[in-house]
Amino acid sequence: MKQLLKLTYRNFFRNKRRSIISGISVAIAIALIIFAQSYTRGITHNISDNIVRLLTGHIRITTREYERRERLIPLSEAIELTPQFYETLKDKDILYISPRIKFGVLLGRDELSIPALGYAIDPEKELKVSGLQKRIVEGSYLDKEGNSTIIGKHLAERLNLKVGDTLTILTRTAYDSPAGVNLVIKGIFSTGIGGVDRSLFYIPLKTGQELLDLNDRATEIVITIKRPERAVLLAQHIRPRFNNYSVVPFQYNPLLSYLNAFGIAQRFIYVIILIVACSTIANTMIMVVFERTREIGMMKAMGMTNLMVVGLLIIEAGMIGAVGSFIGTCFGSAMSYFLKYQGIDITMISSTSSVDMPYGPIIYFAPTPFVVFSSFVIGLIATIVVALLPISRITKLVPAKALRSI
Amino acid sequence: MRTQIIQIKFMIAFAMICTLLFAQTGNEIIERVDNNMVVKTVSYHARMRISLGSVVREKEFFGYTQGREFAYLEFSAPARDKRTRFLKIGKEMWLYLPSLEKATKIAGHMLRQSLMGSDFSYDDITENEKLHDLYDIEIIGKDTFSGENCFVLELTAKVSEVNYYKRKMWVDADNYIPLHVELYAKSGKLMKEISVSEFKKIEGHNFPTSIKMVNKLRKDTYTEMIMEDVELDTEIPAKVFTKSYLERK
Repeated sequence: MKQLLKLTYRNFFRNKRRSIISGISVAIAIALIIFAQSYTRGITHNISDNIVRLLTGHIRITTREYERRERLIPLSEAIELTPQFYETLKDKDILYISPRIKFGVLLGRDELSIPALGYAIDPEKELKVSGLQKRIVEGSYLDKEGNSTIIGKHLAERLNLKVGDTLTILTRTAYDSPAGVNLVIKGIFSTGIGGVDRSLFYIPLKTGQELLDLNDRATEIVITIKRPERAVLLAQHIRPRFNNYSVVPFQYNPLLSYLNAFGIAQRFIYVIILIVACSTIANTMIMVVFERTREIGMMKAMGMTNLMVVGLLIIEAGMIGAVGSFIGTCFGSAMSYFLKYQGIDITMISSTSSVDMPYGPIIYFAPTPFVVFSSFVIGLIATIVVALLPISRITKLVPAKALRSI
Repeated sequence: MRTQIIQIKFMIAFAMICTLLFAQTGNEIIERVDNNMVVKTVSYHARMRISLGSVVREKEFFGYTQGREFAYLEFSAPARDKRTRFLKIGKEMWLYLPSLEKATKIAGHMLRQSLMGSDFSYDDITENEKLHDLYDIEIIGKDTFSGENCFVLELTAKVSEVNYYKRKMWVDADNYIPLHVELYAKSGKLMKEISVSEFKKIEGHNFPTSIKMVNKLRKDTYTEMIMEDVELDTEIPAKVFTKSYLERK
């Protein structure tokens, strides 16, 4: 066995250039796979985090009818915020509960012509849920009560408004009557997400309830929990307590479901990258078998079994694969871990995105030891499997014939 | 044989004459309806009962309409809606909300939206045009509605700018009041139903004073409107139909 390894080591350096090229192609493929996996995991985490903070929390409760007609924002389908409701909702895994009202408006300065989306929120509860106070770039965070508002940076720019100015909004109440209010701009926020910064503004919950004729009611209840990965289980646990309400964990968000489906397609792409990269290994091994036919014949004539000869060549292919995968893993994981802490600022792209695709402004890569290790192992196994095909030819070689070959 | 041909020709001619007579009658009926419904001016006080399933909301307002061009509405109850005003001049409409202290122009498509949450739209309330000028009229039969003998007419729009493409109307044969109207979209979908349960004879017009509107596009709702202190063809000061009057404190 020691002799066999020694022989393999020598063979590895017999055609350095060929071995290096094969190794590099594997290294590039593995680095690319680690990098791409870390990026897609990072972007999924980013979108998921934005959805949780700005849209649904870890679990969102609405009436079933509200969920069915959500695109129309049916304010009449609101939830009564009674003490019994909060009592029924109590659970040791729940951290924060924040009621919200989403409503459509026309707004402007002189002419009310710009459609926008408003959220009436409890400013104190939202400190922990949406963390909007961290996104204020001008002025200050929302008051608990009163006719104050915080608006998206791009919306403020569109309307040429600054902190202290008055924003007039026109909307319809839950009973379809027209309603309007003049709001003083308390702060301007920037999330780096185009759709949010361009069309969203927030007002205190009490002001919203009064404006929309929804006293002690809210259209959405957003819940933050201790262990987000348990949101599906907790939602299942809570659901039976509320017959007419829809209790939905954030994982069921259509966008996240779509991203998960896209992840399966991505794995397919990784396999193709790997096959292309490993084809250079297969090519190398074909060359090796052709070049060394007489040598292999000699080995077989001297008593080496098929298994030993095949093993010799597999170890050689494995060495190229291992070195290539190792270099690729080092390079890919170094880049990914660097960008895990550094992040990529995509404000230029995300600031033009819609609210339906809430990604940005900084994507932090999300490599994991599993991603790194599995990529290395897959690279190694793939090179060996691909090399098997040309190597298997030598089992059919007759030593006498092989020795006569040119 | 010749006698038979003459008889057939006579019957066809008779049928054609009858048809023509009926068409004329259809137009005549609508003209008489228009004479009742379309007035130079109208001022009134109205109470609206908006039934939204288990919830009933009541609103009060007063209104002035002059011809087809001008209309003014001001809500007086409940407190939440007090001093909410609407002004229509031609095809444009302004809304005044006391909380904003200024008038806001309502976009054209919004005129078809609900008036203060009722089953009526802004257009329904301010409508004051002769149906005769807007629709082709056909009598499709006779029927009774609320015990009254009625002509059943089908009105199909002959101009593009109408609120409803088709109307099926049960017109009281004695008083020429549309006791029941079904309003259809161009697709044939039934959009609203109006029923008149009471009318008064004012200044020579039979004018509806109790109307029920059911918006078929909403679920389980209807609105009853009772008009009081109705005055027809009286002088309304021109300043009423101005933006400054709308925005007055």
